[in-house]
Amino acid sequence: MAHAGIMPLWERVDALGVRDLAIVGVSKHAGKTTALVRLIEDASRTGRRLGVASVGVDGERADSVLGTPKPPIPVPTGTLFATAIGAMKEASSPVEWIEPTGISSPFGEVWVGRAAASGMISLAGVRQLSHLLLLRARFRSLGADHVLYDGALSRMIAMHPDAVEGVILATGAVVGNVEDVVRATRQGLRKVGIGLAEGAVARFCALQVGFDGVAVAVAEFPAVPTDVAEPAPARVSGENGNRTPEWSRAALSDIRRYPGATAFTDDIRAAADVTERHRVFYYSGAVTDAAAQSILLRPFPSLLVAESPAHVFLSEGVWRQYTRQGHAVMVRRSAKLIGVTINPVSPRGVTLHRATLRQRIEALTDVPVWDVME
Amino acid sequence: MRDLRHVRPYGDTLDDGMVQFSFSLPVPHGEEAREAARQFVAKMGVLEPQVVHAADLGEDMTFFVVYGKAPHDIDYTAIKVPKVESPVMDFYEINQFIRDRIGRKIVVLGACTGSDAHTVGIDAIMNMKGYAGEYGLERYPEIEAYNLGSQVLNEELVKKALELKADAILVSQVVTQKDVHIPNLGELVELLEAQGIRNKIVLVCGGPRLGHELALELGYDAGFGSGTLAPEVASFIVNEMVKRTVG
Repeated sequence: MAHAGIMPLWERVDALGVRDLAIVGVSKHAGKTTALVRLIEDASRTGRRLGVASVGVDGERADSVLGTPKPPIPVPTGTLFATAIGAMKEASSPVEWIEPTGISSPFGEVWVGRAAASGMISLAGVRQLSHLLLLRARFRSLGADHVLYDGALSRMIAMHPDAVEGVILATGAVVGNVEDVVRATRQGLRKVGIGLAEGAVARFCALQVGFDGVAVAVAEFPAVPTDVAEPAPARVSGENGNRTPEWSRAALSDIRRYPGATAFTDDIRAAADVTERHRVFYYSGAVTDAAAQSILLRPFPSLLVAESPAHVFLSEGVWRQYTRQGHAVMVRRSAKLIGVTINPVSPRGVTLHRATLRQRIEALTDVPVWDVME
Repeated sequence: MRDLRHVRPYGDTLDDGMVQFSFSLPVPHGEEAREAARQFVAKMGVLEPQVVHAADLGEDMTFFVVYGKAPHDIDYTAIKVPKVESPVMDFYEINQFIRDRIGRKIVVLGACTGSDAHTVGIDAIMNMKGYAGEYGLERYPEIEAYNLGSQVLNEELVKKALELKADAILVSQVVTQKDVHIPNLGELVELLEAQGIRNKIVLVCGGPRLGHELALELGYDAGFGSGTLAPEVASFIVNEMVKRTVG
């Protein structure tokens, strides 16, 4: 399937200095595979060698959730990919199987192969973060310029910064009407686009690399010299006028660490030595609603720092409540947002108004928005 | 001999293709409603649709039963459904296997998660009295089984898994609406990955709408459908645990 107009995705990938990337969807059938096919086509035209894999089962003849056919994945000669050989029965591309990976799946072991001629492939069998890390190393050693992952079912591991440097967010009509798509996309963007910790907070986080638990710190903000015309280091945030400090200017002290603590098992406020002046909370594991709720009513605006966006699990309601109180969430590291793809056609046969959808999604973000059906 | 490469529905005679539909339309009961139902089924490609039953549901809704002939057939010989392929041991063999190969009791958590309050599936696997002549995991001397019951939040399940140092988690999803079980099951996997304990836990889901393939797609280690018995699940868990330590 050749497209007249090509999405300038790879230009953007280059401009951002991204080597390995993933497509993650706000929901299933959001057009991830369609976008993947476009990326592979364009990569081939610009002489890039790809290593391709899908998190979950994709490129299958039939979809196991909605029962609708999935688009096949055409690849040019030389494309490296990882899949379970048993999933390739319907594929048309002749394959040179290079090596087994040790990843087992219901279709048999996952192997790394190379397309000996252009044709269709099926990608299946890759499911966990550890699989992605293993494949990235294998693809690199075999000379891939980029590794490209197709995320399945909004699998957030595909955007883990250990696995990729860049992420494309896929959204589309499968979510519902235009309002539903906008809402789901806003949530997706909010998650992918959580701000990176800066300044002293970033340095505090760097100290926690390899640490398993929760670390807290006292934050203070230097008084702004009177000869500087700049306003106080705070801005008004939320409807209730609470002030969110500029965390990049915070000075941190009295760092305390709680090895083995988690958002699931520990209410960090209860630790005897955590005072109200402790305002920065780093979690090495998941940041959940419970973590946000535990500091919701603190008198000073506080900051939750997660390891990456894949570690943040705040529900919409708690997030809103939390940020309205002037609190903030940041991440130690994250994959860059490359752009958003929209698919105005749903597999159930609904087509949304293209121009409206595009306009509404563009209004949500500064990154490029591409219509995969154009 | 039956031709398994061209299988068609059976009604009164072999290969007659007869199928039955039952559905409701938001229209008032009457002749127009019957015709609407007939046309609707015809639009699905079904031949000779006949409305054999129509009932007034009130509030301008009508329920129908429609018969028709399906024009399609299925090649049964080409069907391949991925299933859990693990040798199934019995109660005694599983306990002995744990003693010999793992050398300690294993901890298994079971829960019906999200909005699902239907514990029939997880109870059949977990409850001491068991189901269909097979003891549940609570009866296994080498398994510490915890049945957390229904409507358990994913966060709560992970909390228990951390506190009890779970070796395996069984999630049951029986009744769900609008595929809500899919994001709910997916979130648990993401939470475990984020917490860095996904690899330490054998993660299994089960329910009438969950096959092994969907389970794997969601990031689980296995999926079991309706009618699964405790030894099948337990055999998979202990084999998987041993495979991981060896591999």
